[in-house]
Amino acid sequence: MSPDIKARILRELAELSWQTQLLEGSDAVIYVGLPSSLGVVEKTDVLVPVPSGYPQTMLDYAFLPADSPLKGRVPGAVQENVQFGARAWTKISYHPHTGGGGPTWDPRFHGFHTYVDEVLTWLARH
Amino acid sequence: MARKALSNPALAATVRMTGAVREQLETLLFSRYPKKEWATFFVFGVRETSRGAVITIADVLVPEPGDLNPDIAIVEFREQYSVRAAMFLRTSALFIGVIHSHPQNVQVLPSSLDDDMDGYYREYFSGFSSVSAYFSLIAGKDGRSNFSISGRGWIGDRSYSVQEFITVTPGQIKRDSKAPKRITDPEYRERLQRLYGEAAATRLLNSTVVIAGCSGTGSPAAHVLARAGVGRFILVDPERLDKSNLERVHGSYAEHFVKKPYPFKVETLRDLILKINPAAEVTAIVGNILQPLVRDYIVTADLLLCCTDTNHSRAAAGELAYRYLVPALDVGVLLEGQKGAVNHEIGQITVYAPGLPCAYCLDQIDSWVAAVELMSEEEKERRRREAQAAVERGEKAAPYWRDVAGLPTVGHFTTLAGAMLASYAIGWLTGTFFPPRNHFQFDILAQDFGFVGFDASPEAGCYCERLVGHSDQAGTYAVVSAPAHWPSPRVL
Repeated sequence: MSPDIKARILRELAELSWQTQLLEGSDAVIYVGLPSSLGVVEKTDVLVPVPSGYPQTMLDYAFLPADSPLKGRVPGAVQENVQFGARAWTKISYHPHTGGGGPTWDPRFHGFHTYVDEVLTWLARH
Repeated sequence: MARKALSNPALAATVRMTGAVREQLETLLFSRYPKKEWATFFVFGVRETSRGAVITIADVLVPEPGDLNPDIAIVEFREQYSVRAAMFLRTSALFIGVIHSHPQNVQVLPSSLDDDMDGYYREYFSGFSSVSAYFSLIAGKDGRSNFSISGRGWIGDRSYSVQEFITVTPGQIKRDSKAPKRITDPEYRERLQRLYGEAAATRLLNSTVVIAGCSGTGSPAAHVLARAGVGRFILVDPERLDKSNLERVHGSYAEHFVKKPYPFKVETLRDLILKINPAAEVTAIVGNILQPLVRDYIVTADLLLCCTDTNHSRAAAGELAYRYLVPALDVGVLLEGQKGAVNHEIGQITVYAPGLPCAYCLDQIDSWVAAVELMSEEEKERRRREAQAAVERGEKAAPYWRDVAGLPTVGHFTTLAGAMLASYAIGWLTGTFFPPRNHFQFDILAQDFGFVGFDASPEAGCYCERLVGHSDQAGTYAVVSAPAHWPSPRVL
């Protein structure tokens, strides 16, 4: 991750009141303790990878902890497990900016500070 | 307050500014001419490279009444003005410098008083910023209103001497050099000199043009500019030649396809330029304009010709224009047709310059296409597999993968478009002519060439409006970055 991109992501995360963690070695961000109203768990961590070419490349997908009971309850196909840092995560097919209900990606306005809103919608009862 | 010793300038620096800033500075600095000096603080961004530094003047902190002592002929800054500048530093990632005038016909070299001033402000401003950077410029005019300027600066413990000043306006790109090249082969330039004048020929000789993308449109553009007498080229392209390139890439010949690996496109284009003009300085880089090392070269250039016809490069060209004050001309070509017939041969030319809209404001970026351009082959393959699995589940494939299609382009049209781009480059560099619109399309198969063009303004609040000249200090607002899977760039 280049210094510019790290600085940009840290600026985006600083705009949030949610607790977050930037995993530099793994190029990912964890939103910590996001609320869910699906009636399964009250809170969950969600991991979103920093895609190659970010921020021109849009944020995409969401990962739940590998043992999360939300798997199969949130929209999107459950895919493989991936290790990020010390934790195993499960990839979920969630694509708000490529036809999944979110706005067209524009790096001038969108980033980790806006993607959290998409994730919160994803975790909520529809 | 302790003053830092002024070490001898060692490294070369280039100062870039917009025409509007230069006009503002000249009006201010020479407001008490011919006998009295005047001054102002200016706000700047900086990019340090392995070969020097480039500073971009982002704004002028115009002195208010009482900020400078009006009762003496030389410049005396009052504390209120210095404090105002220091307070700016506390809330900004940018830096503060000083520019002042010397009286008419006095050399623009630092005096011992200037040494004292620079030592003082270098120390003073360093206390308000996490990174210490300070530049000091001196401007003057002779009796015939010939403008001259000099400068020096310090970033941390490194000292710089300003060698080049580049001023960018839509219409002219000026370069004031400490050691400009002089024409030694006028007979080669006779035709161009007769048409546009000797100054134009000298200007081209002292120009540095970046050709990003050395294929269908980039190679003819370089070819035309080499014959026009441009003195320095920076060629950027990541690819080697392919046999299909022979049809449209200038500088490629059958001999290049005898042995594998085939040469890099930048190599054959460099050879073409040097065959035309052995005195040209050509830097050939196997890389992409998103990569930091390539940007280190681009920020010293007069003009970028963006000939890649890609979304990510257009976004980068726009960003280079507003953050680093490097103007660009972008070209794209599109052939449309059906059932084996080509019905449209469309060219598009866009001007990117500070103050003009970026590629996002002009709606030139398809976010999906840009993402595909930056994906690794593994990522594309994985997404195609996921799309197939989605279809098998009864879902749509589009969120995972969408093919990016298009007809191939061919040499007669890419050469035309590349040569047009080169012609506008010549006009802009020499201040003799400019594209009819900042953004236009034409179709050589349509009536009246199907010309459609407009001059747009930046969207309110867009980075291209807010971050003009912010250089590396706008890194937290970067809109492009090089993907990690790309190989490191190489200067050949």
